[in-house]
Amino acid sequence: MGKIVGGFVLPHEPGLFFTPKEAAKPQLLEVHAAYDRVRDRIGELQATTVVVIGADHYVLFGPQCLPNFLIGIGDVTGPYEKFPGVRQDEIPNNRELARHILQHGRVHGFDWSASKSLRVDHSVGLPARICALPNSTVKGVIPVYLASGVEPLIPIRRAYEVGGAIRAAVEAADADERVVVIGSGGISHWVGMPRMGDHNEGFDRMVLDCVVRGDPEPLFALSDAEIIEQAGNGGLEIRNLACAMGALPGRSGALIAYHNEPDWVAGLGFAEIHAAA
Amino acid sequence: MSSEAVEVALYDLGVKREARTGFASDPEAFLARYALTSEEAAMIRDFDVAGLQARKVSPLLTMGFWTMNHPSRSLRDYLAHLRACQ
Repeated sequence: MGKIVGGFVLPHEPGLFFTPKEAAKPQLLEVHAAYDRVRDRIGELQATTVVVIGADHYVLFGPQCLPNFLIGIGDVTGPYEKFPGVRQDEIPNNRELARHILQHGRVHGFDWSASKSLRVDHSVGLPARICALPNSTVKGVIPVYLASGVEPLIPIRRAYEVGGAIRAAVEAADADERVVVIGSGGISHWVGMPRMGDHNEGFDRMVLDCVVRGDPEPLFALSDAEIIEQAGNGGLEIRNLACAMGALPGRSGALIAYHNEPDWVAGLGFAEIHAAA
Repeated sequence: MSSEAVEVALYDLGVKREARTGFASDPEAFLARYALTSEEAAMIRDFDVAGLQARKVSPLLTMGFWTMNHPSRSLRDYLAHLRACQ
């Protein structure tokens, strides 16, 4: 039987990774320290597989086909964007568990879309490379993409339920897997909009407070129009955080870090969700 | 006005090298491949990203379109253009 041993929420702002650590200012070093903290906690949890929930930014999937929620069950490579020191070749997948999550979900009311060959972007590729794969215990990273950046969007409650489907599948798996789930998304950010570069710390901390308290209800109550008004179109990515929460329902957690800076696009929130009630 | 054909064109211009090459060499001929109205084609040809956003085209696409195809390819210029149109 598999087990969800922990969860994390973290941002995936590309700009953080274009500057080498050696040239980073103190604020950026603090952000990298938060990623390092997530990496180390994944190791301490002795995770064998990490599920990373990301958002397409209208690059991987075009207007011709926009999946509601998709799982990578085969070859995985990336991220397709070039970052200094970040590999772009194969990301080892746990194909057996990925296919099990897909099949278990389809039997239980979750009609996963599937990719047999997926080149991921920064939203999945950076957490995989930076936080998951440096741990020797981690044998595979399973990519999941939610419709959290491009309309039509998955409802936030459904994103949470998809997290529950991941949990149910893991617990029904034969293999003795220790699984960590990462919800990858910036909080407030206005991508490609006139307010790009702005932040809403109050909104960001409200979302992080929901994560830490294990309470998704305030997130469910937000309309997409309210999110865009308060946190930009990038704020719609809180679906990814809600999905990670759904994999650890009712579990509380702890804030790891929060930062925003004028040079950064998004409000950057890091938190751990504890598996123990 | 339908934004779907516009989004297909902008998606192609964001992710496909051959689309960018075709657009750069002959915008009118390239845009004729898509089911665009003359107004839509003109907005793309003229990099009217504010106008496209006003018609509910995804900002993810307008940003990628500008930074991959505009002569400046500058995000700073893109944002300045958007803000000037507000």
